Amino acid sequence: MTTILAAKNINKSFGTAHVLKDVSFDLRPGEIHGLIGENGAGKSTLMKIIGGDYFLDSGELFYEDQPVSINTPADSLALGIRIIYQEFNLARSLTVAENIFLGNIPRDKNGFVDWKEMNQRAEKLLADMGIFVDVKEKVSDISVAEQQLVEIAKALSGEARVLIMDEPTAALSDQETDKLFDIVRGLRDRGIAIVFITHRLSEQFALSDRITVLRDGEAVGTLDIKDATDDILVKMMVGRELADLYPRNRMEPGEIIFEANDLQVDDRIKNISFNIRKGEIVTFFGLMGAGQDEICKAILGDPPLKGGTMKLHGKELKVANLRQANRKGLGYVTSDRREEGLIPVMPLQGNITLAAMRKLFGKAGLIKKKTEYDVAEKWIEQLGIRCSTQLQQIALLSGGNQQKAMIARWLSNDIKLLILNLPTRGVDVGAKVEIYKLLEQLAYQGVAILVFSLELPEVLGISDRIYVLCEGEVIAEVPIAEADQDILMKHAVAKFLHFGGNEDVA
Amino acid sequence: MSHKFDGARLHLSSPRDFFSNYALVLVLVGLFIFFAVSSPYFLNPQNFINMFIAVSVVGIMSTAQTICLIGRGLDISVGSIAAMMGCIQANLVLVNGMPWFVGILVSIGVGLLVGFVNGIIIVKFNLNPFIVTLGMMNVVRGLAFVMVDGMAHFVSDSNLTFLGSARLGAIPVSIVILALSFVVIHFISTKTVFGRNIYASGGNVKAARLAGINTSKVAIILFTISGFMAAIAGIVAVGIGGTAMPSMGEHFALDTITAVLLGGTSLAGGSGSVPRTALGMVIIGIINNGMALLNVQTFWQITAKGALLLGAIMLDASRNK
Repeated sequence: MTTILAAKNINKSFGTAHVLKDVSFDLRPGEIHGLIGENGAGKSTLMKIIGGDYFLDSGELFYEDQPVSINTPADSLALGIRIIYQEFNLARSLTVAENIFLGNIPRDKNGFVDWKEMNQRAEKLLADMGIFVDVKEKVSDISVAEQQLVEIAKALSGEARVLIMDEPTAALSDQETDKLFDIVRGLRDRGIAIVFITHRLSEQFALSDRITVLRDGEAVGTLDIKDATDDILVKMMVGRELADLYPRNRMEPGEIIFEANDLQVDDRIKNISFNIRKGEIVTFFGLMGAGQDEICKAILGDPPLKGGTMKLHGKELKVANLRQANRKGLGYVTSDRREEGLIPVMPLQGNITLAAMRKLFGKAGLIKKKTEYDVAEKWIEQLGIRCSTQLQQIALLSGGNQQKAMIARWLSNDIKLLILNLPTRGVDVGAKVEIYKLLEQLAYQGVAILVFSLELPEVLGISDRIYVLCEGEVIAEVPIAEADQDILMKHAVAKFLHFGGNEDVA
Repeated sequence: MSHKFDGARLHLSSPRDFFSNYALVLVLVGLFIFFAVSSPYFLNPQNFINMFIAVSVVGIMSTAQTICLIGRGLDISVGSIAAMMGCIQANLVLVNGMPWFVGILVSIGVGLLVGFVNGIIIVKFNLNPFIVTLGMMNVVRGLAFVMVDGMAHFVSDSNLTFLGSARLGAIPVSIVILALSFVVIHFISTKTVFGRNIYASGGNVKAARLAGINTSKVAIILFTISGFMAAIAGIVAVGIGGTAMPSMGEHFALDTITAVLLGGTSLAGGSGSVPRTALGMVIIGIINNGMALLNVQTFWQITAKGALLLGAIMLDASRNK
C-alpha cells in the first residue's frame, strides 16, 4: 500500500464555475499532509468531495490503492475518514463525554445510557491524546481550544484512519497551537494520516511532512517540506513573485489626526490613550480577549465610552451610537466578517454601498440606481475586487474579495477614521498584500488607520507604531524601530507575569 | 442561494436555477390552460374580477407580510387586526351612532397602533416576532369579540363598505386597493433606502447595525406597516362581505404566509420580493377559483393550497443546497 487515500483528476463545477480542474492529490499512511491555497482555490470543495458532501463530476478516488466511490458522508465515515470543519459541530449544552460519543452512546443492558462507561471511555480517549478536560463539563463551559480538542477526540472515537482538519488553529493562541501540534504529531505516530489545512505558512513548516498547493482549482504541486520555503510556497499560491509580504514604504508621519485620552470602556478596559498621525498605520497588539472588540465598539458608541475624550482633526469627537459614528466618518471593519460584516444574500454592490446610503440619497431616501451602481463600480475598480458582476452575491466571492468589499463599504462613506479588527483573517496571501498597500495609501491620504491584530508578523510588517494591550489596558507604546516579537510578546503577557506592573520589560 | 434581492431582475447561473425561478410561472401557466380548457366560464372577464376580489383581503396583507419576512420578521396577528376593524366600526357607528368616518379613522389608527406595539415589544424586549404576534393575535381577537358582544353585525352604510363593494367603472375598488398595495410596497422595498435597510436587517442584523442602520427602527416600522395594511384589508373585508364578524379570517395570517412563501421569499430573511408574492397570490386565487368552477368541494382547495406550499418550500430548500 503506497497511499491510503488518493484523488485522481477530480473535476467539479457549480453552475458555470469550474471549481476543481483535474486535481490529483495523494495521502500516505502516517504522514501529515499540508494543504494550502488562497480562499476559493478549491480546498474546501476537495475536502467535501472526500467527505461525501459533494459528488465529483469526473475523476476517481482510491482508498488503499483500490478505487472507491464516496456518495454520502456515511461512505466516507465507513472508510475511517474524519473531517473537522472550521465551525465546530458540538452540541453546546451537552457534556464533553456526551459529545464525544454522540450517536454512539454506550448503553447498559436495559438500554439506558451507561454514564460510568461513557465517562471512563471518554477520559481514556482524551488521556491517550494527552488532553485533560473534565468530561462531565458542558461544552459551553470549556474554552475554544478545549472544544477544538474535544472535536478531535470525537472524530477519533470510532475507527479513524484519515483525519482532515480545516483551519484548526484559527481561534487558538500560540501555546494552544503548540499543544495541538503535539497531539497531531502523536496521532501521526499512531499511524493516522492527516490532512492539515491552514493559511499560516509557519504552521505548515512546523507540522507538515508534505505540502500540496492549490490555486484557482488546480493542484499546482506537491513538495516535501525540506524542499519548501516561504517564497516558493507563496509564489505557488498566488502565481507571481512576492518579494515582500509586507510592502511598507514608511515615510515621516505628519500631524496628529486622531487622539484618544484615557478611554474607559468598563471596569476592566480602561486607561486607553493613543494617537494616530497622518501617514501612519497604528496597530494594537494583544492576546485574544485583551479587550480589542470592546475598544473598537466603544469608540463607535456601541455602547458609548464610560470615560475619556477623543479628538478627530483637532476637534472633540463624541459618539453616542453607531448611527452617529457613521455620520461622523468612523468606519469599522469587524473581526468576524461572516457574523458581523457580510450581508451574505445581498449582492456585492449593496454590501459596498450599505453604510453610505444615507450620504448618497439623503433623508428622502430614494435610491438612484445609476448612482449606486457607479459608486460600487468605482470602489470595485480601485480596490481590485474580483467578481463576475457587481450584482453577484457577496457570499460567492473569496475571503479576500469579501474583505476588500468590507473596506470599500467605509471608503464609499467618506471615512476619516478606519478601525480594522483582524483585517486579514481568512484572507489569502495575495489579497493580504493588496489590503496592506491600500491601508498605506489611505494613511497618506489622511485617513486615520487603526489596526487590531493578533499576528506578530503582520504587526511588525505593517505598523509604524504599536500599542500593546494586556488585560484591557494599554501597557506600552513601541515604535517600529524598537519592536520585535520578543518585546511585543513580553508586554502582551506582562500582567500575567508580574502583578500590576511591567517594570522588568519596560 | 439564488434569491434575488432586486426582485424583478432574475440572476441566473444554472439550468436548475432557471427552472426553480420560473417553475412558479410554469405552474401558473399550466393551471391557467387547464382551467381554461376545463371550464367555459374561466376566461370570462367577470370571473377574473371575482377571482381577484376573492384574494384581495389576504393579498393586501401579504404585501406587508412579504417585507416583514424579508426583514426576518413575521406577523401572525394580521387576521385578528383585520377582524377587529369591522367590530370597531360596528361598535362606534352602528351601535353608538358616530359618523362613518370616525369608524374608519379609528380603525386605521388602531391597526397602526397594534402594529407599532408589536414592533416595540419585539425590539425592546428582544423577543421572537412569532411569539409576540401570537400573543397579540389573541389579545386583539378577544377585544374584537368584546366590542360587539360576540355578535355579527350587518353593515349596509355605503360609506363603510365603499372600499370593499364600490366600483370605479368596471373595476371594484377592492382590486384597485390590492394593486396599489403591491405597487406601493414594491416601491418601498426596492427604491428606498428604508427598503434596502429591510433587506440588510433581514440578511444580517448585526452587520446592518454596525454599518449604521437603525435596525430597531426598521423593525418597528415594518410591524407598523403590517398593522396598517391589516387595517386596510379589514375595512375592505367588511365591504366585500357586508358584515362585521369578530370571528372573521382566523386563517388569514397563515394564508398571507402561504402566499409569501409560495412566491419564493425565504423564511431565512434578507431575500425575496413583493412581485413574487403577487405570483403566489394569483396561483392560490386561480386554484380556488378554478376548483370552484369545476364544482370541486371547497375542502379540496385547502388541501391543494397546502400541497402547493409544501412543493414550493421543498423546491426552495433544494435550491439552497
